[in-house]
Amino acid sequence: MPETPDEDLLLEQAGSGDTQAIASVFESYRERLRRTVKLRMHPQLQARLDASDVLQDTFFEFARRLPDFTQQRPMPLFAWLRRLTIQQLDQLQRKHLGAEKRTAFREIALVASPSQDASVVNLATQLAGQFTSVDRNLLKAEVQSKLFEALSHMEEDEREIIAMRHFEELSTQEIAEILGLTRSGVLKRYTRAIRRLRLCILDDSSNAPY
Amino acid sequence: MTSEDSHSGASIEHDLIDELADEYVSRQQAGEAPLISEYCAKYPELAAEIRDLFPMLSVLERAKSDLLTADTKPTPPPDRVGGYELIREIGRGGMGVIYEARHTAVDRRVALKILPQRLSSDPRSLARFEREARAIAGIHHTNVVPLFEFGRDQEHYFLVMQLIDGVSVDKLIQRLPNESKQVSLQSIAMQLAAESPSCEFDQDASGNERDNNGIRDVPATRATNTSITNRYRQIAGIGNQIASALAYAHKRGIIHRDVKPSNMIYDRHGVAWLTDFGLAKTDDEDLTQTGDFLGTLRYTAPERFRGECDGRSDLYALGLSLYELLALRPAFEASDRLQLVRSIERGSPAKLSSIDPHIPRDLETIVCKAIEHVPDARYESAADMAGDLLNFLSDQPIRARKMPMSEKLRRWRRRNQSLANALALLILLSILTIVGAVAASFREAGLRNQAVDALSIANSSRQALQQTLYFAEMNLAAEAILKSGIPRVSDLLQHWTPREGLPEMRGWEWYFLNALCNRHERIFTPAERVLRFHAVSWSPDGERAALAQDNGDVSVWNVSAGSLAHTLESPHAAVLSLDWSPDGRFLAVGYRQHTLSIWDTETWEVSREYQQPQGEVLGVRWSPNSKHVAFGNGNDLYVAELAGDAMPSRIGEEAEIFSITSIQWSPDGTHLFAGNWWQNRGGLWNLAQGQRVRDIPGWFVRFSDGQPDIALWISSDTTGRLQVWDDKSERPLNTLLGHTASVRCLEWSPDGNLLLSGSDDRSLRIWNAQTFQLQDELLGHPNQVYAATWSPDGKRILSVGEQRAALLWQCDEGTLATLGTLTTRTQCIDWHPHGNSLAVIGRDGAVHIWDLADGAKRHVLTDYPMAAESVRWSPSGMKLATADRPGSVRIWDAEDYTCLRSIQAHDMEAIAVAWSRDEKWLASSGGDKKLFIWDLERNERNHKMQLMHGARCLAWNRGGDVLAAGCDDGSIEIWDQEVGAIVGRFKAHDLPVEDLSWSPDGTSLVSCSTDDLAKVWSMPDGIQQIQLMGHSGPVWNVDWSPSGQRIASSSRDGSVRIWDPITGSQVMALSSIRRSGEFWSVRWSPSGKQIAAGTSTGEVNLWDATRGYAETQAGE
Repeated sequence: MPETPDEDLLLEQAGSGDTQAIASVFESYRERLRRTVKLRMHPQLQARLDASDVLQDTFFEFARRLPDFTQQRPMPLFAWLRRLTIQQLDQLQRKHLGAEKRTAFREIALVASPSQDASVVNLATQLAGQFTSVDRNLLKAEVQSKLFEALSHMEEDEREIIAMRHFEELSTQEIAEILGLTRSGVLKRYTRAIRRLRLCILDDSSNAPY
Repeated sequence: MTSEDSHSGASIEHDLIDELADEYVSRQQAGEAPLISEYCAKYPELAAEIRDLFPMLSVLERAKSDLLTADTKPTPPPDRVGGYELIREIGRGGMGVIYEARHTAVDRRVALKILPQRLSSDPRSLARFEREARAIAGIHHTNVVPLFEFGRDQEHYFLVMQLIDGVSVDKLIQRLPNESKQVSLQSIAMQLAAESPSCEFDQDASGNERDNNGIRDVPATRATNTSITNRYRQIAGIGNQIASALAYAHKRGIIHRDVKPSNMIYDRHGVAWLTDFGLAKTDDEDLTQTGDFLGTLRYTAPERFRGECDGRSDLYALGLSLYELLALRPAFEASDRLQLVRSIERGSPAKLSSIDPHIPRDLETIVCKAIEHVPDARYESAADMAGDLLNFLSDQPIRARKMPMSEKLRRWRRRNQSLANALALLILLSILTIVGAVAASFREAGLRNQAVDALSIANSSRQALQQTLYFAEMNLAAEAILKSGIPRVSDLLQHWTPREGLPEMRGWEWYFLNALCNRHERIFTPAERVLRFHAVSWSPDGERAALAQDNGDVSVWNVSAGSLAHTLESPHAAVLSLDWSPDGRFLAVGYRQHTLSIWDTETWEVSREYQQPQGEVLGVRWSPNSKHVAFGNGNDLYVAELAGDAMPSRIGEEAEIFSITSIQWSPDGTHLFAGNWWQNRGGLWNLAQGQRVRDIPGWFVRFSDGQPDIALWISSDTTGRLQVWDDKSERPLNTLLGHTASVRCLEWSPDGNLLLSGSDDRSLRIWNAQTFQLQDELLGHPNQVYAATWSPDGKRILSVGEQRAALLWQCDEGTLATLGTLTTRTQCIDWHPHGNSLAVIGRDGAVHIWDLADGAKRHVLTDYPMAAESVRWSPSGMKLATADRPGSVRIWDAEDYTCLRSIQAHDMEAIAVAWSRDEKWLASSGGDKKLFIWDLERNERNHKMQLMHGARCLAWNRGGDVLAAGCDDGSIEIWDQEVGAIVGRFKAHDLPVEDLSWSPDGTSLVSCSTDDLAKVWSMPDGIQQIQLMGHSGPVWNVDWSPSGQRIASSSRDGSVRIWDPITGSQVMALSSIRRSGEFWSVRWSPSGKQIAAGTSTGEVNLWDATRGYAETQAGE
């Protein structure tokens, strides 16, 4: 999603310290960022941490760093915001899980999710809920474990693409920018991943789950 | 992007379908509802693939956006919710309406909060509600309102909490300006609770304590005694309790974020409770929705406008709440939000001392430190603040210091610089609120599903609920035992005696608490018309005891047999005091009707009687040589000489100003000290001069050895605080904190090493007479304790009070008693299989054997050159195995403690040893990363394994064919003895595995680690079943109880915790009575009735539930 001229203007105003503009820019991405957070939050922490906490931290960081960003524009706005969000989430998660467990999380890179495990579990849970609400014959636990397995065995970037495309609602172009791939490369991986996922669900059940 | 984009080459169809899929998803995300058939018609050559692929895409989209449409029409509150009958509304907040409710099956009154309908259709609020529940469920603290349950009944989501009998602190603040400072906060709270039953918490089922005005009778003497200073102390007490609750929560990573007076409840016992955990977040939307934004903003720490928030922000809010309690007005007042923020940003509120000059300086300093503008200038932690408030309460120097002026100026400048920035951000925040509230609604399908799942699971089974409730109440009971006393604990215990519809759920913790409630050995119950005993005295040989009855008789008992020996009937009303003469010949008895009688203990006849025209005889004491008896009649002190016929002489001419309740003779018999516990006064009389020579602001003394000089004296107040004063310097030496109500009796043990105190708080406490540390608590009196006294040998205690029984206690076998003190750390403990001795390693490297049956006699394994690392009894109890730092593994004879065998096993230190059940194999591991299996029958090495990482702990299963080894890298290796190889290996922890224990049935294994966790694994597959989460420091030891029902763990955080292995719930936390250091080791006794735990300070704590099991058997 390229930044519209309107947004460009708004961003300029925001960068020069127009507080209302800052809030409006952030607000327009708030829901997508919330999904990013929800999807990637470590299941253990969901009781302690709320997406709003992370977003609030992100917002203040965003307001602080915005002037620098508008001058340099090193990457698309959303990609940058998303990265900020993941950084804030990661910081909070580390704080909560304790420094000793740092090894459990990968060091944060531009691309990597702070907790791959978390996104798999969360993805599987959400998907499983969907399947079972559609088809009562499928036991939720069964579906969930199948999905979990399928997602675990998937290439990491394929799984990331599904998460970004559907749960964070990123366009294939945005995903390509974030992952450093061509758009067609993203598209190929995406459909391949979907096919795999489908096969895994249909594996030994003759009923289509949809 | 359109589907017309195409690329050359063979993959063109693939590229097209990729593009189509992408377009399909984009259209859905844009809010369209594209038809699959439309795509099939347009691209027939791809139709098959489209039909395959696209439905999956829709499913993925729906997984995110599926939303149940909620019924939004308002409905009246239900009569019943999930097994609770709603009685009436008692409170209302943005996040729910609070009702008083009754659990119909268990018949208990609770506070039940229902999420309002408009919010229960909002996934965000649901999630918040659920999070509140989870947050509180993890907090077991006496000052946090405990959660019993959360669940859903049809469309109602609800939380069930303990019903607190008190008022919220904001209501207290509103009332205080109209009240005299002489009146205690407690009585104001009770009055308030009585006045407004409809909006705040009313009395619980035991509310019969009230009279018709709703105010409990406060004895006049106490009310006048409550000085203005007491008001400040009570406020500091509230601060201390809330700060310790916050410390507890912060340690668990939970920040309250909405500490304010309306979230604190003050109950009729003077206990402060913190509520509404996890409810309010800084998230602006919610605050505006609840309409209590200003209410919350007033207590918001300045850094939170900058988006920073940690535990210190809670301290700021607590500080402001205390400020308001002291000043009786808010620190910052403003009618609108911006103005308020501006004044918070500007900083310091008016000086407390300028508002009320009586506020103690130290207390003001503490509050000032808590509300420092910059977080770094505040207390570092809630524990620090709680500690400093305690310092204030115990009259110790506080740690907080006033800031010098220069520093103040510097801060002021800095602050004003940041003001502009902060205001800018605040404006942002306001805008965010409006935009965000609209944007955020109804869009979190996944979140909602999760919340619904969690709630329905919680709802799924009644038994699971009961179990949750059981665990919550056991934690509560363990916390309550020191603060609320036995009756509350007994109540909680009684909820769980099995009956129709309530299956057996009790575990060790229940029996342990039951043992604590029943520590007394024998109960002497008198004739029916007796309601209470006022005094008690032992015969000098310790065989008999005399009890003063309120019907005017004295009963004399054979203590060992527990039988009534004599009843000394008299025509007088109530016996108030008595004392057995040191030579055993006479019993002096003081009556309410100004009479003292001397009974001959051979004939049991009155040999002498002294009567005064008025007064009552509350105190009597024989001189050390048995020749004189001193007694107080009303305000006057008399001494009677037994020889001759002279009438007793009054000592001192003037009428004295206090009633005499206790008398002490100086060791040389020349002086008398008399005191009064409720007036907290005393005086010293010189018998030769016949007059009072000193006045003392206390009522109990210790004389210097053999001298008539007072060495120290003790004073008390109505809050149960005792203070020890040095007589020479007249400065306080020590403050004895523990009792929560007036202390009526004090007595030094016969050897002078201990001090016994009995209190209205229904407890007896034993203090070290040198250090004045609390040594033991005796709990079991259902009401006030009036008198308690040591047996002549100092091994037993008899106590009486407001009940129809006298209790006899053994004080050398206390449930909480420690076995003694080793010179160094006790890092390893093992029980003899017969349960009669303990092997303990100190850091001195010696292995100490404690014979429990034989009065904890100690053996030390000799000819032992260097530090032992591990010691294990053989399963038959005939031998001991040790591993030591020089690398040897030794086997010892358990009869005479000689070394039978010594193997130089490891190149580096030997760390662990383990016997197989049949004593055929002994496994050892060492720092050389080797694992050996020794064949003890053939005296040879059976196997040798080089491990990847060193194994710190070893455990054979019951069959003796599988050995688990916990390794330094956090993995667990499984050795199969029949195969003779490592057959399994799984990663258990991120940090080294410190200890392992098999479940008795061999199907599970529990491990613990420096990563603060213990985990239960199903064996042999090594799948994690549950995590035991709660320790806030490395877990050193875990042990599965012999019954398999519980797991015990010990940790650096200073606690031993008991867990349910199925649900992973914490059932109880135990701490050292001296609150000393970390727990290095913990082991269940073979009977499963006792737990021994070693601390870093070298004590072994023994928690014994044996009596609790016996009591239950006898009772049922």
